[in-house]
Amino acid sequence: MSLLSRALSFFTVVILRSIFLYGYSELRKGTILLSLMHLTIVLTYGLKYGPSLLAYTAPISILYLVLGMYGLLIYSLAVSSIPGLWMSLTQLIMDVLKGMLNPLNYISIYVKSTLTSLAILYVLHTLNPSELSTLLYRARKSLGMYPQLFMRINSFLIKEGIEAIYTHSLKGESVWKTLAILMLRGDELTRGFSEGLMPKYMRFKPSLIYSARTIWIQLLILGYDIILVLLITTSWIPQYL
Amino acid sequence: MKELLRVEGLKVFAGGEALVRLKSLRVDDGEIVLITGPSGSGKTSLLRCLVGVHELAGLNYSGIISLGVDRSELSYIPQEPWYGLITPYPILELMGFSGLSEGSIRAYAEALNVGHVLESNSIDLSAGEIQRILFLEALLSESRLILMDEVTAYLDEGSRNQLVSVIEGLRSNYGISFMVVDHDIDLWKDCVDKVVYVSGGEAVTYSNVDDLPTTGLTSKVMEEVRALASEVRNYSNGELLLKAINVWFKYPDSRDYVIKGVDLELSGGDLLIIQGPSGKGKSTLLKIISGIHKPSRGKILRYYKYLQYVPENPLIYLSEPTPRDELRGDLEIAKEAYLSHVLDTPITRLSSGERRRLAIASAITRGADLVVLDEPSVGLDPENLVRVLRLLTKAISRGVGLIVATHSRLLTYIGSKIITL
Repeated sequence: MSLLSRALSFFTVVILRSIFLYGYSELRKGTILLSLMHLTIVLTYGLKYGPSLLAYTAPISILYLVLGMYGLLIYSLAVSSIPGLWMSLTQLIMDVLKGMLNPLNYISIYVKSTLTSLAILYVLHTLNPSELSTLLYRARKSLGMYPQLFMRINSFLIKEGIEAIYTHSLKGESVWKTLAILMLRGDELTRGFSEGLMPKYMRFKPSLIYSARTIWIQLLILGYDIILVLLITTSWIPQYL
Repeated sequence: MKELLRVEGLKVFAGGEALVRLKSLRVDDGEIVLITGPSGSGKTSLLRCLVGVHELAGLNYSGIISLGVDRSELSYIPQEPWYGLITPYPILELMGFSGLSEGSIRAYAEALNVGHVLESNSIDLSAGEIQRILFLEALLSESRLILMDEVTAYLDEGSRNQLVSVIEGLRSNYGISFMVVDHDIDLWKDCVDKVVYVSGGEAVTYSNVDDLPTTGLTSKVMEEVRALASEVRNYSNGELLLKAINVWFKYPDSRDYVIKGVDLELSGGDLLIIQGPSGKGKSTLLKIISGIHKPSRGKILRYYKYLQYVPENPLIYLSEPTPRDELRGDLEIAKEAYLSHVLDTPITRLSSGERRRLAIASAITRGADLVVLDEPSVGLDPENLVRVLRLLTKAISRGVGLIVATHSRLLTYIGSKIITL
């Protein structure tokens, strides 16, 4: 297996696992609204008061650990590090060209980008497909199917892609050729899922699945977020942040 | 008896060329109709026209297809079952299409041995598990006519027999009708009311399985399989290609090991069969052997030079636009795999059986000393399966080691070593 195939395969596996590692986990049985409220607070206050991002991330990390989803946290951190590394290295190169280096600044950029990406991934991990489908179904009947179909096709495509990269590399095919084939096979995939979906899509009516425990956890996280906001905006803490 | 489906003077066309013709067929409530025939003869195309998804496959038809039920009372399980599952988790699929509660779905799923995968990610399900989920979905959505393409292809013998007896019970007790595409005539012969035999562009309806032109073929096939089996057992050359020592594996999101302490040894000229119920980790073990997954515990010692791996979906293996290119102009092997007539047909227009034969033939011609095949018998009629067995035997005679995960009795019969998961 060539180095390029290996790297691409590894990268694809990490992306697949960072989003689709677990089944219909407890994390996905909450409500989207509470996750979005958490993200809004992180983007508004976390980015404004840099180091507080660590405080906003702590309960999320604990949640993954409590639910036994260590794998998801590790893969998510790996994926979240990509934009962090990209941005801090870009800044480093620019500073080298200017002739002035500030190591603390690069660490700060890296941490901010990584933790913000992690907060976005947390929203993706807590997307409840049954809730999203129900909301869209209520807006327009035919839309209800799409969120679930989107999740299904994307995970399927990435999984098939990993297998194709590996299988073709054993055949001695170049990675570029495999990627081109995967693009062309998108048509086959669309046809296949259309064939499966067409005879039954009229019957689809999404059902809601919630877990009271998950919603309680989301509320606790939101409560913690609000307390942090109050502390940051009303007390002496900001001057140290 | 209420008529659920009537076909009159049907002609199916693919790219303007006539593919198959069916003079007439009537399906009443409570009937089971088997559609069978050689692979590539047009069984799936016929079914696609009946379901109304023919245009997606570039098919057209003339004649009358009249449905006596509402479209919402018709269910279809496609040949490649993974395309039939359209939600990320089976529980959402079953709830979304049946309207039933989680609790009652769980009870039905347990009865079909898929209760434990309801909340799994759909990409982690085996093809056999997906087929059972789709079958359950068809039943729970109160379908009156269920059309199933190779629905037993990925099931082990126990699950196949269970499915057939469930279908018999449903037909007798609830009057549900089934149209089944399958190569395994023996499996269905005691419960079918009609058989449509598709071959040479003609689909002929028989009311008795014994009248089929394939009768007598089974003993001929068995005779050849026996001969191949005794041949295969002489080819082991003792040169070690692969050794697995106490291999354990679990997926990162799972607490349970799917592979538990597997030991195996394979030498050149060996044909190792991996068998076991669907969902027990056969494909996973093949992926570990091929290097796609790393064992969680244990060791794999590799002594081979080149390995080829053909996954469950053969389309993933193929990397050229036509069989001629894929086989790199090797007309001899194309003939042996019965692909000479489709050498210039685009791969996406080949039947499932043709794709599989092509992938196997291609893997064998690439000079690998170890070839790993996942379910190589799916979509193949007995004659084509024997062709594949001949191809495999020829490769083994050259010292190639083969590892095959299969539910096929014939393939298992010729194996020189067998592992049951």
